[in-house]
Formats: sequence, structure tokens, C-alpha cells
Amino acid sequence: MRALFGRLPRLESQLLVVLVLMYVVFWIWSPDVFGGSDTLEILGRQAGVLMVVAIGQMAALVVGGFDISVAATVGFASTVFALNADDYGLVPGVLLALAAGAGVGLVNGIVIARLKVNAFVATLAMLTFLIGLSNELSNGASVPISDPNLKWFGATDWGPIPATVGIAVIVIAVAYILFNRLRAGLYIYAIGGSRETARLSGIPVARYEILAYVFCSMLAAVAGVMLASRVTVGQASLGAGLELESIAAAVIGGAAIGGGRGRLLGVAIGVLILTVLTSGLEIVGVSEFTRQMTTGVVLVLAVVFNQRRNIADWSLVRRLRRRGGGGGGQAGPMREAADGPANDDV
Amino acid sequence: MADASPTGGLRTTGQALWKATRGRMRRSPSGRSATRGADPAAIRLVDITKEFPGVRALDSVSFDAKRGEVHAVVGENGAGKSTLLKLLMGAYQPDGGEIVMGGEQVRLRSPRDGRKHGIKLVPQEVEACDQLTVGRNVLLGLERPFVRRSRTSRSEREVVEAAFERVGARLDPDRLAGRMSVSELRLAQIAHALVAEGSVVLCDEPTAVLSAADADHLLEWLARARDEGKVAVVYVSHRLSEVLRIADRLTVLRDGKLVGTFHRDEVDRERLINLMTKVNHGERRGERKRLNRVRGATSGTLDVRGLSVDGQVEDVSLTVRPGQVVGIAGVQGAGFGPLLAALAGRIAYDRGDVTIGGTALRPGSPAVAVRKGLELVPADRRTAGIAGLLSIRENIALPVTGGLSWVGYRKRGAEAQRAGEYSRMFDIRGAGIHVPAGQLSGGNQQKVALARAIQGVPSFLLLEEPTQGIDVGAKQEIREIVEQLVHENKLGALIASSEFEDLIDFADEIHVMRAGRIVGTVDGHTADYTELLRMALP
Ligand SMILES: Nc1ncnc2c1ncn2[C@@H]1O[C@H](COP(=O)(O)OP(=O)(O)O)[C@@H](O)[C@H]1O
Ligand SMILES: [Mg+2]
Repeated sequence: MRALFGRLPRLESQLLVVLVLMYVVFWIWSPDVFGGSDTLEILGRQAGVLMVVAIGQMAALVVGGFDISVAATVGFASTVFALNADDYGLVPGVLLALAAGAGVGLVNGIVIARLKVNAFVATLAMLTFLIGLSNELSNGASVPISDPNLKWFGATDWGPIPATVGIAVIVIAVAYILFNRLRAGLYIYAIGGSRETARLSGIPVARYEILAYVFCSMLAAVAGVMLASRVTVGQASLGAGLELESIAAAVIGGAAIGGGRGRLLGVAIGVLILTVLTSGLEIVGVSEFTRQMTTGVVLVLAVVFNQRRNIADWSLVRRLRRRGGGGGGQAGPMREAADGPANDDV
Repeated sequence: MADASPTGGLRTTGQALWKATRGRMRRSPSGRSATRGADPAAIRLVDITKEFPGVRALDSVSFDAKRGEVHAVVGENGAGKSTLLKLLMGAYQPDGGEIVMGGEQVRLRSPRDGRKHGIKLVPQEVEACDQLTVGRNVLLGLERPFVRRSRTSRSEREVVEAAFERVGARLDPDRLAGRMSVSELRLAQIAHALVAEGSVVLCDEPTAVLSAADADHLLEWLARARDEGKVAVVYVSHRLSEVLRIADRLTVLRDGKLVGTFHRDEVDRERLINLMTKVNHGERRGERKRLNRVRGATSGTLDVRGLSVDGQVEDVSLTVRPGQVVGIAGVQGAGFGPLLAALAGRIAYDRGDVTIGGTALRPGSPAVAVRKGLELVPADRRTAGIAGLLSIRENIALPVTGGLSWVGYRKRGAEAQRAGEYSRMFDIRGAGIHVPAGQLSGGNQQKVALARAIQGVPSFLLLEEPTQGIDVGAKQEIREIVEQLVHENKLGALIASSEFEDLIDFADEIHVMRAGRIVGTVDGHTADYTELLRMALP
């Protein structure tokens, strides 16, 4: 146990403790339900979809923005998938859905990185645009998929594990490589950490920012396919609520709104925490409305907690010191490091 | 050092890494021998003009840098030195004129273009990606497609460590940049510029946050790189002795205009200072209208005892009486910024007592400080001194203590009248009181910031770097305004500045700060520039 915690970064250890404590509380609350392995399986299924979306969201957060169109992208991708799956086959359907996701991300990225539109406005506009587009394509109805093999994308089990868990594991592996082993991932962190430093280093900042949004939207598309598989229809509203939940999970896991920080493991644990919390409350019979209220409260608490942490780490004081002078500088981008006295003499 | 070739040695060490990243570092066009003979300059600016809202930062300036020389750029704050370097790097686009490399006109659309042309910049701002390791920061932009984010490979490590050795830094490449001190980050930034291949090195005040030993090391290294003849170094610094020590040529800028380019032998310290500063301040303006509204003098003495702020301010005690100007002289980083910020409630202080007329000013919030009659005009003028998007009128109406609203309801007539009054008194030249303050020139912004502060009827004014980046005429005017407030309205003024001539013969008393402490106090009327400097420098 100690060995495990010793190797984990501090935040991740804390999150893990929270996760375990939470589970224990639910267990005590409802021992017959939470004692069984069925519940773990249900939680796994629930967590899978959120995991995929939240990891995408993490990319957008790390690069310094966020994406509130993910839920709409889930619905849009599921609609594209459903409209094509029966005619062209499941695999081409999935590929089309992924392409649709990539397209959404490309537009989001270009609008944000090249046209300099605020991420909130850009992705909010995309959200309403996509809901309209999905309904337009499906005539406002849900589109059924009849192919029996559909279940492999999220409804059934792959051997011993649920398909959603399997897909989530694959996504985690891909994201691990992107975030920790590829230059592209490094640049996403660098841009979120200090855009100007990245720019002066010759990094094509806009290109990598766009990449982050494409990654985000493609993962939302993957989630769209997973959900379509579960309910056997594609529908504009399929992902409802995921925009908030994905941001909440990522932020709980240590990703910062504003960019530059966030680790995959933390976000993964954040997803589990949020899932255990909401699904746990559902299982013990707390109403949906109360659960929604809880998610809101938890999101704000996570942000407050994160900011406290950030203040402790790299405080305002430190920024002051960097400029070598002057009053507080929370706002505003870079500051002048120093102007020595004019006509200095050494 | 065994290796006599400063850049060459590193190049061999990093050979493997560079080979692998070859595609990212195309040869610069100027490297082609066909064109090299035509123009001795590695890079040349011809009649470059650059404008920002309300200020022409560079006005038809021509400049060139040759391989094998150090070309220094000097000028007062706001003269346009950083702008010049950023144009050379491609970070800014000129509004007029052209950039020539190796005899051919080039367009540098971004720093990326600049890097491709072999240009590298150590920017004035000490900035890094806090969440990445130092090693990653040093190598940023040079990585192969597959890299570990949190660790450097053996070959990467060698390159980083070799670069650190050049700049005289002892840092673990795998430590987070966010845990570094400012000077360590500075050395990492210099190493960052060092590891990239290129023939033009731009340094913007590289030594401002470095210790004397580190600065010395850097200068030595630059001199050796120059002697090797492969790079052109453009060097900006306020430290004239540094500049005179290593520069082969010097370009003097003043208010965005080129004063001239000189060979090292043509100038000395005195001459440079004369060239940098305008001699004629113009006549003093006619008598200003008295500022009747300003309260002043009602609340007794501002007394600071043993104030300490987490490692930045150590045990500072001082007193400011109404009708008195107290100066704090120090180089940037001396700690007067945090000191003033603490007095104004912007940051918390750990220890010490601050009283006004005997009643304690508890630490904590700017609102408390303002209510007790302390107004700060901070150095970060554009972000904290004024609200750039609001008009002059709205800026002046901001202070809650100014009496320009009635139960939250704005008295717009009174606002307009007051703003008009102040802009006349302060001679704020703009298109009128409805112009967004962010569009004004530095000097006018500073006057708006002052007007806003005074509108709040303070008893004490805290001014941080009040004349930084503004032209000499505006400097003089601001001095006059403060003089009038102090002598006629009996305000107390605490002025912290790294430009000592702002304080000499103006402040009644000058405290010299160094590394967070007051290291000496002199009479402001008899203070001597060099004496202040000797005390202020680490
Ligand atoms: N990004 C910017 N936006 C608006 N004004 C700027 C900007 N950068 C510089 N300036 C203005 O241009 C002038 C020259 O600034 P700068 O080149 O930084 O001077 P120096 O480096 O010589 O101190 C100053 O008046 C400054 O206020
Ligand atoms: Mg500058």
C-alpha cells in the first residue's frame, strides 16, 4: 500500500483515498447492493462513457480552453452513425461518426485558435448548431439501428469485461501515448502553460491547439457510438449532461481551467469519483434532481480545492517576484521581468 | 575551460539530437554563400515603423547586426528596444519598412519563421511553462516526435546539461520549472536560446534578474561566441557598464526614434546618457489649477514598523508624514513592489504593523486601504492602474470614496464634470473624456491612473514606478502634479522607483532597498546618483 502511494503523485493519492472512502460510505449505507460485484460492473459501464468524454475534455482544458459542445457532439455522432450503420455497415458507420467528430473539432479549433473566438462562445455556438443539425438530419426523431452486432460497441461484454470498459481502456492507452509520449502532447501542455513561451519557441501554436479540440471531439464521437450501441438508436440528445460532467470529472482530477495542468491518471480517478457519487446516489435511491444538485456543488468544490492548491504552489507572490516588483498580477498575460534602473552602473 | 569554442562544443554534444530534428531546423537563407558576400549584415531592418494604439513604438528605424559582433541597443524605458527585438524575431509585424537577411527581403510572420531563419530571442519577460520540467523548457521546439513529457532522455539530458554549463547554471533538468527561482528560470531561458541552432541571438535585458556572478559569466560567454564569428548578438541592457564592456557597436533609441548607431570607441558613459535622455524638458507649464477637493493631512502619519512579506520584504520600517515625499530607490526585484502591494492591501504581509495617525491598518484588502486613505498607483499600469476598456471619465469615477454616486446610482453629470476638470488639470491629451483609457499613450494613461487615485480623496499616495515607460515630458508633468499635491494639498507620497533621477532632489528622504531590506537612508536633496546605485546593487 505504502509502495503504491509512494509512487503516486500527491493529488492522485488523495483522489484515490476519496474514491475509496466514498465507496465505503455507500457500502455502509447499502451493504447488500455495494457488496456485490454486479454493482462494480454497473459502475464500470457507467464510467466508460464519461471516461472517454472526460479524457477528450482534458485535452481541451490542458491546452487552455474547454469544450461545452461535447454532449452535442455525442448526439451528432450517434445520429451520423445510426443513419449510415444499416446502409453501409457498422464499421463504415463508426468511421463516419469519427470523421464527423473530427470535423466538429476542426471547426471548434479553427474558430478558437485562428479566429481567436473565446472557447466558451465558440463551443456554445457549436452546441446549439449541432443540436439543430442532428435533428435536421434525423427529422427530429431517433434513428434506430437494427444490426445485431451493434452491441459490441458498448452494450455487451468483451469476454470478462463490459465493452464500455474495454473501449475506455483503449482510449486511456491512446491518450497516455498522446499526453506523455508524443511531442504533440508535450506541445499541448506547453501552450496551455505559457502560450507566449511556446510561440517564441517556434511551436505552431494554432495547429496544436486545433489538434487538442479535434482529439476532444473525436473522443466525444466515440462516446456517441458507445451510447448508440447501448440504446440501439442515434439521437441528438443522447449525450445530455456530459458537457458538465466531463468538465467536472476532469477538474476533480486536477485539470485546471486556464490550461497547462492535468494528468491522465488524475482525470481517470476523477471520472470514477464522479461516477461512484452520482450512480451511487442513484442506486441508494436519491432522486435525479438531488443528484444534479450534487454534481453542481461538487464541481464548484473541486475548482475551489484546485485553486487553493495552485495558490499554494505558484502563488501570486511568485508572480510578483518574477516581475521583480509590483503589485498583484493575477490578470493579464506576461509581465515585464525587469527594467533595471536607467543608466545603471555595475 | 578546455573547450575554447563556446557554440561549437555544444554543437558536437548535441549533434545526435539535432540530426534527429533536422527537419525542424532548416538552414537559414542567409547561410547560402551566394548571397552572403552581398550584405555583411546577418539581419537588417530598413526604415521600420511599428505602432501600438496611441504610441509609435518605432519610427522609421534602421538597424543591422553582423556576424561576429555584439550590437547593443540602449535607451530609456519605453524607447522601443523590446519592440525592436520582437520585430527581429517575428513576434511583431512591422507597419512599415522591411527586414533583410543575407541581401534578401524576408517576411517574418511569426517567431516560428524567425526561428527557421536562425533567430533566437531571450525575451525580457521571465516566463516558462511551469508545469513542464526545466529540461523540457530548454528543449522546447526541438523535440523529436516521440518524447517523454516528464523526463529527458540521456541524449537530451546531455544537450541540456551542456547548455547549462555554458550559462553557468546548476539545475536538474527533470525538476519542474514552476519550482525554480526567477534567476534560475532566466538561465534556463538563455540555455533555451542557446540550444537552438541559429546565427542571430537577441537578448532583452538578460542580466536584469541575474546575480553579478551569473551576469559576468553570461557576458564572458557572449564575448567568446562573438569572437568565434558565427553569430550576431543583439544585446539590450540598462546596465551601461555591461553594454560598454561587450558591445562593438551601439544603437541608441529615444521615444521610438533612432538617435544613432555608434562604434564602441565613439561613445562613453556620459555621452550615452546624454544621447538617451532628452535634454530639453520644455518650459514649465503655467500654474495649474489648485486641486481643492483633495483632502490630505487629516489623518496623521503613515507609520510602517517591521513589515515582512514572505521572503520578499524583510523588516521594513518607514514613516510618511503629510506634505512629505518619501522615496524608495532600488533595482527591480529589490522588493518595493511587494512592499507597496502589501501597504495597499493587494497582498498579505506576515509580520509588522502599519498605522495611520495611530490607528492600525489591518492587512488584507485594497478596500480597507482605500477607505483609510491609501491609494496605490501600481507599476502594471495597463492591467491594474487603469481599466483599459473604460473611458477616461469612467476610470476617474471608479473610486468608491469619490462621492460620484448616490446609493449606487451614478451621477453622470458630476462624473463628466469631474473628469473634465481632472483632464484639464492634468493636461490629459486625448480625443476627450470618452476615449477608452487603453488607447492613450503611456504618459496619459499614467495621468489617468493618478487622477483616478486622487479622485478617491486619499491622504497618502503610493506610487510604484510612476515614470516607467513614459516620455520625458510626461515624466516632468507627473512630477509637478505630485509636487503640487504634496505641497498644497498636504498629501503624503511614497514613491518607489528604479529610476533614481525620479527621486533625487524630489523626495525629502530616500530609502534604498536591496533584497527586501532597507539598506540605507539618505537626504533626498543631497543624494548622489552613484551613491544610491552603489547601495542598491547586490
Ligand atoms: N503590446 C503592446 N501594446 C501596446 N503598447 C505597447 C506594447 N508593447 C510596447 N508598447 C509600447 O511601445 C513603447 C515601446 O515599448 P518597449 O519596446 O517595450 O520599450 P523598451 O523595451 O525600450 O522599454 C512603449 O510606449 C510601450 O508602452
Ligand atoms: Mg523592454
